[in-house]
Amino acid sequence: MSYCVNCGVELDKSAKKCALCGTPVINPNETKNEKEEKGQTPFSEKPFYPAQIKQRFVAYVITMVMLIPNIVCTFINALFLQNGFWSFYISATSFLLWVVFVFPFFTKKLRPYLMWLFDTLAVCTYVFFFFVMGYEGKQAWYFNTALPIILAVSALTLIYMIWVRKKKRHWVLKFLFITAEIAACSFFCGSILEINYGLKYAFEIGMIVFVCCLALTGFLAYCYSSKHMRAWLSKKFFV
Amino acid sequence: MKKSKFEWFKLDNAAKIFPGQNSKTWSNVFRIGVELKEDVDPLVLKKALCRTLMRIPCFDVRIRAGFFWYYFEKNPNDPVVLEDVKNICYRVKFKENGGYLFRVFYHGKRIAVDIFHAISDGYGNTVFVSTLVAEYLRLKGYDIPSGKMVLDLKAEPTEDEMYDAYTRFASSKASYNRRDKAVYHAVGTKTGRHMCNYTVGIMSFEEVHKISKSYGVTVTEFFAALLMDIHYRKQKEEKKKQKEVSVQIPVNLRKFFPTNTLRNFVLCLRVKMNPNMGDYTFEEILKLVSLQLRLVNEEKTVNSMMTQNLKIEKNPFAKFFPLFIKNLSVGITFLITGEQTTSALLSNIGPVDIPDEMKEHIEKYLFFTGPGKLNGARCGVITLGDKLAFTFSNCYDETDIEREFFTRLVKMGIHVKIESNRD
Repeated sequence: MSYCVNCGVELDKSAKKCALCGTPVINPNETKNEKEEKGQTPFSEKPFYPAQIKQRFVAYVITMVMLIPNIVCTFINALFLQNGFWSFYISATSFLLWVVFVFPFFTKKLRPYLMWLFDTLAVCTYVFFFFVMGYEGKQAWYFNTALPIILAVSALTLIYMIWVRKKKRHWVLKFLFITAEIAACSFFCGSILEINYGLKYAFEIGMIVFVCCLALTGFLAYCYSSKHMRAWLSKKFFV
Repeated sequence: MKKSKFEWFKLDNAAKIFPGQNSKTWSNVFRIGVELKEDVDPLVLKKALCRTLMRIPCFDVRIRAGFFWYYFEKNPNDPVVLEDVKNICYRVKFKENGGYLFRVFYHGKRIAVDIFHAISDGYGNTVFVSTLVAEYLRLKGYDIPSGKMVLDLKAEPTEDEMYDAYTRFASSKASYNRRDKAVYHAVGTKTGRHMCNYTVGIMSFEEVHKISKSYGVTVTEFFAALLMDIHYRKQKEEKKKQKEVSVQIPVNLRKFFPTNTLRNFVLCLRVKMNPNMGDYTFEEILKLVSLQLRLVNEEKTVNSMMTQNLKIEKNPFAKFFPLFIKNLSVGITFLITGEQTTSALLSNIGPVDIPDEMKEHIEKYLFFTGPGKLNGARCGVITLGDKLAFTFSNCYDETDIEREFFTRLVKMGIHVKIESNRD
């Protein structure tokens, strides 16, 4: 007969620890035979998990459903309405949606870096096919402006993912990191637009967003690190 | 061939909401378990189950969907007995288990029946389990008479055991409107899908009765007050803004109305306290619980509650909505109100009344309420002789409520033995 030294309750003879506080059951005088003869547990130890629909099956079904309008449109475009490659745009959009929303369900466990790589490639390809193919002189726009911006946003997302996955971060820190990234992104976009097209106002707007976000980041960082600042804020702005 | 009069029948008033609440991950299921003094033989148990089902046709059913309502029809399949599982009261799917809405399990010396609440309530399931165990013991060679909560298997099932008692007895001209608001919930880390933690405290009924009597309250009132006190103090430690604390207590209506129905005939009462009114001692909470419960726990008030519930069912506007709309509205209502209005549940079946010859072969009865969606303290109480089993169903990994509850009992001088399915 065992009792929990913490809770004062009697424990079942098969119990290895107290179910209420987790204190282990230790009897130094117990022989090896006594340990083995502890008897059956009052509850079964085998859990039953009801069968569920496999997510891969659902992903296959969604893929098939997405394929049908694409095939139909391509067929109509090729045989009846032969006025340009309009069905191509539908297929490109479907492909992008499929890569972003359906493809993750085909992997057995979550692979965020792989998904990041595929999503970046899909967006780059989508923008190329949608805005560049068929338009003359658009290649320069794609390689000088669109691609660097897409890659910059993607790189910032990757940095954020690595930072968040490294250890559990406070929500204020996450918010701080995102504002810092928005600042960097707006500075980069403004600069690219000015260098390539001489759009001064775009650079100025980018700089305004950059300065605002940077100021917000600095203020939040100071609040997060300074106990006095937090105390002063809660004193002045209590509701 | 002449068809039996129990070929199909409607769901009772309380049962109508349970299929609508049922989901892929959660069902309103509860369990009555019996611990014998010897190991259970599954083959004999299966034989006993088949015989018992013939006597209790309201359990021998499967649920089917009509255009406006669900209905029960006789189940043509064979029932099965299963080896027990760790996750007691896992969700019910209407097409699994041969369509049966109950599952019979065995584990070591234990026989247990998990039942979907649409079929019956705690009393009905206790009668079913007692009759099943009595027949099992008879097949094992013991001489067990019928009577009390053990039905006579040689007798024919009666209309009295089968009818919807709500419809028969709801006759009040007054309607009782219950307006409840969201209350405090002691939340924590959720257990995995389909899992729930169960902790059983076995204690002497006499010891508990003596202490509750010294406070001038009943055992149910004493336990409800203790639960409320623990939640009240926990909230005080956790939060600045205090919400109401409420305990839901299902009441067996058979004590007010003359009926032997084995289907649902239960009504949930609520006792609550507002911590914003001031500091309460345990004695004050006891008084509060006792007064509130005694005020509503009487025939006329429960009749008006029943009438109010029936009004919703009989509303001609709601009546003619197709079933899927009814299910949708029940699901949404349950999500919004449901457990939001209760901090804890305390269901006390009370003493199990079985023949003395049967008691000799039984160690104890156990009652497990199903897992909650939000409530960490859903408690079931059942007594056999001097053995009272108090069970906590907790959908969170934390043990603070049950630990506080049982240690408080120990400090009051009650000997408590703990069993649990926790790792």
